[in-house]
Amino acid sequence: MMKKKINKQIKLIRNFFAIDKTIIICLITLCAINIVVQLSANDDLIRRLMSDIIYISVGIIVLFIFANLTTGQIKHVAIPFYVVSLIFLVLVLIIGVRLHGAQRWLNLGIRLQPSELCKLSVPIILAYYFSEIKKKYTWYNYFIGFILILIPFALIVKQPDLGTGILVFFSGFVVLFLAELPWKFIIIALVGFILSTPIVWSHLHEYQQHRILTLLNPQSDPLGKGYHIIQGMIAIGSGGFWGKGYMHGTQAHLNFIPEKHTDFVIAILAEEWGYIGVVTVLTIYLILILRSLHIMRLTTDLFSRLIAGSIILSFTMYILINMGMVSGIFPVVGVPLPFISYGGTATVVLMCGFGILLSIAKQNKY
Amino acid sequence: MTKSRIISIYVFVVITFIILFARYFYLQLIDYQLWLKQSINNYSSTILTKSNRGAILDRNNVILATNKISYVAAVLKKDIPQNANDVFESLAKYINYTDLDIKKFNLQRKSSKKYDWIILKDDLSDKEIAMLTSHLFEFPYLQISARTKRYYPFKDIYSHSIGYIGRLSQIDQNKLQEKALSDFYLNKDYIGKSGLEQYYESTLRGQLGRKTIKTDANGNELALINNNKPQDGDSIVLTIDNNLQKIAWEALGNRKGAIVALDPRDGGILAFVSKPGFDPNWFIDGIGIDDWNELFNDPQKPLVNRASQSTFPPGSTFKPFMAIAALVLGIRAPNSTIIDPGYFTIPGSNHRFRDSYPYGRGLIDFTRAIAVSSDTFFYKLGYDMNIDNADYILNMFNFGKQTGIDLPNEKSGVLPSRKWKKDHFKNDKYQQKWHAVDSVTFGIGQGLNNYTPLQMAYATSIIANNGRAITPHFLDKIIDSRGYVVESYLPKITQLPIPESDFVFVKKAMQKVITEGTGVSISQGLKYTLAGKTGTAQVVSMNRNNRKAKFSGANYRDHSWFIAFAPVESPVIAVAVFVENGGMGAAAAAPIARKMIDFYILGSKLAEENQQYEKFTPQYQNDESNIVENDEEKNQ
Repeated sequence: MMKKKINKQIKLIRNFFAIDKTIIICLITLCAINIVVQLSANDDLIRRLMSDIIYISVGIIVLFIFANLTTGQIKHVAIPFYVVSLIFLVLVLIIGVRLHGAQRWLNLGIRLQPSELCKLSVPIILAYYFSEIKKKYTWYNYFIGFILILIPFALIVKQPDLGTGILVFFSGFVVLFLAELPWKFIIIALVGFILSTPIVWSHLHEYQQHRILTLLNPQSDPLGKGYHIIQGMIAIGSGGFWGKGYMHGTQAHLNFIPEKHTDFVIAILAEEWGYIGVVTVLTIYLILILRSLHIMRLTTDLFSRLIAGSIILSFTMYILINMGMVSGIFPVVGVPLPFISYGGTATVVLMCGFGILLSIAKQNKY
Repeated sequence: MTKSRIISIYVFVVITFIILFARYFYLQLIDYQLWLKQSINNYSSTILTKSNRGAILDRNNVILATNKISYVAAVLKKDIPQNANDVFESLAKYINYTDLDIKKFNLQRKSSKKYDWIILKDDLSDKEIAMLTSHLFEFPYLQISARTKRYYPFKDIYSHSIGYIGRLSQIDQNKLQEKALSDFYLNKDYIGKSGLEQYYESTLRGQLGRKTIKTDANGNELALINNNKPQDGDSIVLTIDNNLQKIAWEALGNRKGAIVALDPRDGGILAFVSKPGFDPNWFIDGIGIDDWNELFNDPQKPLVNRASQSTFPPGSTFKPFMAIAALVLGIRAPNSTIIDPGYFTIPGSNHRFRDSYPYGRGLIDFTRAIAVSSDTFFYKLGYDMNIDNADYILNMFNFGKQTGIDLPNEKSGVLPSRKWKKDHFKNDKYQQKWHAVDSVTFGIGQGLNNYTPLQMAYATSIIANNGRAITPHFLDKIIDSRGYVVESYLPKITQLPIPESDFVFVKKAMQKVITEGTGVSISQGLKYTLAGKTGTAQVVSMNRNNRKAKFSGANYRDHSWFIAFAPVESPVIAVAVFVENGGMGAAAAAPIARKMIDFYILGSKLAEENQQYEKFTPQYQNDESNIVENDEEKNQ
């Protein structure tokens, strides 16, 4: 009896940790790289380094918890989660903390960035919505889908935080796309986007307009608008093939790189570790993505497929936008590099996402 | 979920990673060098420190050009109050300023940038400094600072030999860039613009100090990367004798002219005068366009270097050289004689070339022809001589080519020849050919002959040396800031292939010029042997009687020449004196030469005056005492 009980417990515990090895190894490696790079990026800011490690630890715990949820459980919380994140977004606009000219944070004991939650709550609600409709989708369903995306999008852009807004929009849009949003809708939306550019442009904040203009020709104003981009490119380029050596990046340690521990962290990695370092990180990302796509293809459950596709594509998008921005092919929008930028709500939310993926992987097995 | 959507996802992922791998490959491998350079520029900045320019000294170490510490009141251009005139008015309580200061101020203001210092007043006196510093609160934008300034204590006396320095112009900067010398200069640095300052620029300028430091993004100094201290320029010691130069300058009085004296033994220039001159101190920080125009349009032409950059017909001072040519070529023998009727006619022509002594001297021999400067004798001599052969000999005396002196922009003069006429008179068929008339006027140093006073002095020294030609030069030696000799000038010597007897003959004749010839007026009380030759060069041809009235101003008076060397047995000085529109050679130029040679050979009270001028004292390198002008430059 006792033995049976113990065996059952061992089995439970084993079960708890029995998750996809490729993904967990990739994630742990990325977290290790995070700590190594952050050590260099923060010079001697021990406190910030400690809180980074705490965020990562919390993230890993959350990862395991989510990995052991079932799809049904996630479906259950889809609506409340969405509503709560909308309430938080409204609260941010009312009682949010202002930093760098934008009101993005909520102070609830710990500092929370509700827009980050939307990166998960929006795809979940959409995946839930589309998986619950058993007949063929009509334009009405897609219209509802768009409404579900646009409400949080509008609230986030209002903060203002265009970067996160676009990513939230993208994470939702991916679900629509995987739910067979007709190509003609996509093309109409694209044409509409291009046509509305001048109108959107006039509504953009001046600093956002500047960033886009500077991107087109950063050398035009090397000490003003183009400074961030140029300094980032100098750091990357001067790293060369082998890098300048750990802790020996001049761009990093002489304060030429702005926001070096968050958005521009790849510049430090590229400067100190060279192209070798960049290739290593990109390879890990690629393995992670391909493995996740494999998991997605194996599942038969529509909800799981939709949510997995959204998580994977959003993740790819973060990498593309962040590394493209720092190397000067995209405008400077505030997007952190997944798992390597200084941790925070973003890291925890990413861990949630991969937790969901792992839980899908687990359910594939049984 | 259809297959096409899944393929789309894979396509998106693959494209994303191709973009990122390629982009970082491009930045880190292909453009690596470019970005590395930028990252180094980012954290290193170089501070340039000016070096002290070397001094210029005469043979007795009297300072002819040096650096003086000057206290200046300056203001950043961006801080100049709206009404700049009010500033001057309120400053008037404490300092004296002149219209020139305001003019200079406006000039600098026009040509400067926002963060340049503009000098309100330089050379502040001790009293002015005291007054200003105690009232500085009234002028918060004002800064009083010390800087070194080039100073020429003898002003216009050396304006054409030493020249002057000035701020780098755009043209200078382009030239420096071509020669890859830009690194030797600061942004608004000085450079030798004329004379010896220009010729010995690379010796005098020294080397900038370069301190490279590592800074962070905010410009905080973190570490010293390297520090090259400025190296002071070397000083040059000239062969010039300041006392002789002063005597020559004063002897010319208010007449225009040029005097060149050199030591025939080593070719060293002893005196080099071109009068009138100008004060080179004015040019250092640039003079206004008005002042420039005034100097430029001055009828006295003070900007013209008459000694080495202007040519004049030598007149009768050319005769000794013609005599040597005739002896070498065998056209005349030392004992040749002619009958002088007071004029010369070319056989088969009626035209009479008149002698300046119109009565005719009858029977006259070669020696006397030189002594009394017989035109008839030399008309005939010129006529009898083949111009090509004459040119061959006279070329050896450097007529028609540069002497090679260490001064920029030397003129080569004109030694007329068949080729020269052909090249020069392109549109005049008649003048293109060499005519007998040309040979006749050539014989007495008129016609197309044109030489610089420097060339005449040099040629004279060759006669004095019996054909040993030593290239004239200013430089004696180069010394470093501690007084050690870095380099001594080595004279360039060539021996002309002319028999010594010919020189001895001509020298004797030139001595007779002084004892019983045209120069007899300066022979009184002579305590050494002197040889010379007078010359009176026509400015316009007076033979054309109908034009006489038109050309009868002071500017059309004859030029007065005198060449001389002494003592005849072993010459130590050779002189060429040229007085523009001075009239007869014997009257104007000869007494000046006598005065100079008297002083040089016999010495005089003036030697004691030597003491009163500031002498060069070697400095021992001491960083604290060196006042240097800093110029910060951040590498971009």
